[in-house]
Amino acid sequence: MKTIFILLFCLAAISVQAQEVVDTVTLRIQYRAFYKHTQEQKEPFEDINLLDLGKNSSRFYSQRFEHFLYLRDSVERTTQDPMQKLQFLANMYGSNKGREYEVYKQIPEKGVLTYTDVLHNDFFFRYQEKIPSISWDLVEGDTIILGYPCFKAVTNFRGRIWTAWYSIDLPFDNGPWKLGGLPGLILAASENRNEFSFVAIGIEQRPQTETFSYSAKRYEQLTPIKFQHLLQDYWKDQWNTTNRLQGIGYSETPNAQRTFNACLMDYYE
Amino acid sequence: MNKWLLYFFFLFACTEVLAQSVEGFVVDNHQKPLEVVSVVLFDKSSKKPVAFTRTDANGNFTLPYQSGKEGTLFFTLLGYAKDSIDVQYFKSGQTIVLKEKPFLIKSVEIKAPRISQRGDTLTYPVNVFKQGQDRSIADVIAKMPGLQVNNDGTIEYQGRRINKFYIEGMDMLGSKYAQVSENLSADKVKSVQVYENHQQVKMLRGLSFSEQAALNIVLKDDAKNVWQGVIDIGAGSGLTKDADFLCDSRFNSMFFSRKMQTFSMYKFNNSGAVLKEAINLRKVFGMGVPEASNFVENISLNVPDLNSARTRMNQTHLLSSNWLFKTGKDSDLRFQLSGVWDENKVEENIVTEYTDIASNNRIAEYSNASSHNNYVSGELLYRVNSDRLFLTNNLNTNLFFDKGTGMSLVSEQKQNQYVKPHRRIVSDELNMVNKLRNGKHLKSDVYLSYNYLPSKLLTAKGNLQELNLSQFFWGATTSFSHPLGKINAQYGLGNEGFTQLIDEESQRLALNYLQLVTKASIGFFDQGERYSWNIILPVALLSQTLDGHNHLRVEIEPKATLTYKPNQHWDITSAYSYSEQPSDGLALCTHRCLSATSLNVLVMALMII
Repeated sequence: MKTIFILLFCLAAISVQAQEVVDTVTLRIQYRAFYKHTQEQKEPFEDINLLDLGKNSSRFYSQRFEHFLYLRDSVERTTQDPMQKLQFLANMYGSNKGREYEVYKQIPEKGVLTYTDVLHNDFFFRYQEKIPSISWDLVEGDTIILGYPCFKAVTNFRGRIWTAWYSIDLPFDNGPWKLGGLPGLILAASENRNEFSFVAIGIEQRPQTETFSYSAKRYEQLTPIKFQHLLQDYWKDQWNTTNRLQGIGYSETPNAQRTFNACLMDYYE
Repeated sequence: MNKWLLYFFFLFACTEVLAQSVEGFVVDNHQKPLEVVSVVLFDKSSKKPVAFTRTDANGNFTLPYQSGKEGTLFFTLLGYAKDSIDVQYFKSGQTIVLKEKPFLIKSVEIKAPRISQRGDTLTYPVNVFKQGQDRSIADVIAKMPGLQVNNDGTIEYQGRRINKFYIEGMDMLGSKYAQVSENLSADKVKSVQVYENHQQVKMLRGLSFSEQAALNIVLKDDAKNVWQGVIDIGAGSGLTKDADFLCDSRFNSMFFSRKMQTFSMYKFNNSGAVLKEAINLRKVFGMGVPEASNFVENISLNVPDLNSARTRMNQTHLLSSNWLFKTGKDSDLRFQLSGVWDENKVEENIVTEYTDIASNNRIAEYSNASSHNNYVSGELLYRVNSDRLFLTNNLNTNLFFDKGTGMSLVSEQKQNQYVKPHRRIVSDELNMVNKLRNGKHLKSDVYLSYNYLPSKLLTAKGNLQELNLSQFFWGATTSFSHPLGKINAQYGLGNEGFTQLIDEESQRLALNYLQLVTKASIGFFDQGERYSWNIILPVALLSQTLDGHNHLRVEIEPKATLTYKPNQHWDITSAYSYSEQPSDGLALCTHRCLSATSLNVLVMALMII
């Protein structure tokens, strides 16, 4: 009897988690980001990111990737020819496609951060963790970004030393990617190895008619450490990692494949 | 002594506690506790923040602070006015009240993503889709989502032919746009715009919904107002004796400015390539004027099913020139001239052996043929496209000088072949749509066309037969439409006809045929967002005269169509029409087709002789 009750409770909990969470956009900030996929990459890729601030939560995503998905859907709708689809995908490589990860804060509930990513265009993953409490050192330095006077802060967060510029006039506890925890919105952030950086290039109040939603159904759940290992395995051996994800066993890697060292934004171990 | 010690101890303890942190409580002016209020301690001398915290769910905050340091406490929250207090005057446990204030931020515009879509216009920047190996803009257009370039150069969007190809908003080439799309370098183009559901007639925009799209090429600034061109020469020859000299060259020049656009091209090829840019004379857009068709066709060549570049022995010259002048805000004048000289040769040798012990049967066939496809066409088009008037006047001439010669040798029997299906066509077509007040429209179409088709054919007996067909078409129709309550009514009146004269020289036969149709119609139509319907009731009086015999008919052919579009994926159409098929005397029909059975029999008799 007790076990049945517990099972039902678990089911209810899971179904609640699988629900869609919707919020309306009140403020949108546009960032220009630079990122690297691998350490061997000479020049970082460029991307345009958007941070949508809602009433209770926020969403950080790539404007280009969002647009790529929209275009890909319209190509799917108009043609069934696999060659055209492949050609479209081939043209949308690198900077054109955008970086696929998204960071949802306070979703699915307060205090929780959800991180989603796409591997090899096909495999959708997510993990959840508590919103990291970053201990910042407020240091000397000020600048003006987008007309807002900003102050400087530095922290060592999961293997990288981040320098952030925040503005008190925008009193949001938020920023690009997973960064936050400063008295104002982070308008610029960069890390010491020059592999990742964000700079705000636009900010707009939205008319509150737009919503953003997060649906857990599309993604496969992982833990942060497992995901880190997956990314590192992928860049080392793309062939076998994708085989493994598809359920095909190990096979000889093609000669043309090169191995890389993944360049990750945060390291858990 | 003990009391003093205790007293000092407590004093110390109290000051210690005070030196470690500042506590407080933040509420709004209704005494409701405020959460996530940003509490920042600014250093007074450097004016920089030194510590910060946030209020919790009950509005409480605890901020670590070193006593002795001068500072200012700032309280900020979205939607409330900033408040500040010197930390020395702040009493621990004090309540701060924040007043509401609407949140206005200094906006900095967020730029739209790369491919923008406003209403029905899609803009594709060329540098996103261009790759190293793309030379002409057609190669890049083929890569854009939704767009497809066919082998003959026509462009389709979402499976439908585009109805207009603009360069910088001007239509210079009409249906012959393949010439520019295959020759304009991709480096000169900034972006390609797709106008979905493009309605070319300005006055119908908003009223009539087109399912076709149009393409507009936006040039880079350094490609405008300069003469530019491409010279592309390829030539080669084998080093052996009697080797062929092959050449494939292309010259084109173009100029784009606000008031004038021109594009000219000369191509020469004898290496077997089929000239792709069909200087396509079939009018794809609009109704077009009826044309006569030849009784004989050019010689057909038996070509093996291999790549034409490997089997064609040809010599082709192509020259075309297009000019567009903007004569007013909504009007332009276009002149196009093109000519092709194309000669193809084929040689075929077939030997068939029948093995039989008794006799030695061997059939050898040898044939060669050469076909010439030459034509010259010129067009002068004047267009006015404004909100109240849509007018086009097209003066057109097409001259075909085709010729085919051949020789075949079958078991030592020689047969010569010769055919010359020439065509000369001169026509003028005027279309006019006038938008009058109160939603009334007046539409008129007038056309005149003179076709002269002299055909020569060498018969098996060795006679050269000449059959000349001259045909004169005319037509004038007017229609008037006006709103009638919630729907629209349309009245039409027209007269169309043609006269045809066939004469055969050697037999001195001549046939004269005249057809005249006078039509009046009344119709009703309506179009909404999801549906459209129309009902037409035409009454026609048809008169046909052949060689003295006359035939009169009255015909009524009602038609009704209803289209319903519930959503983007479904389209339901139902139509009803009634027409009569004549079964007596001269089997003639009212459509613009010439299918008099007696006439056909006469023609075939002439050919066999």
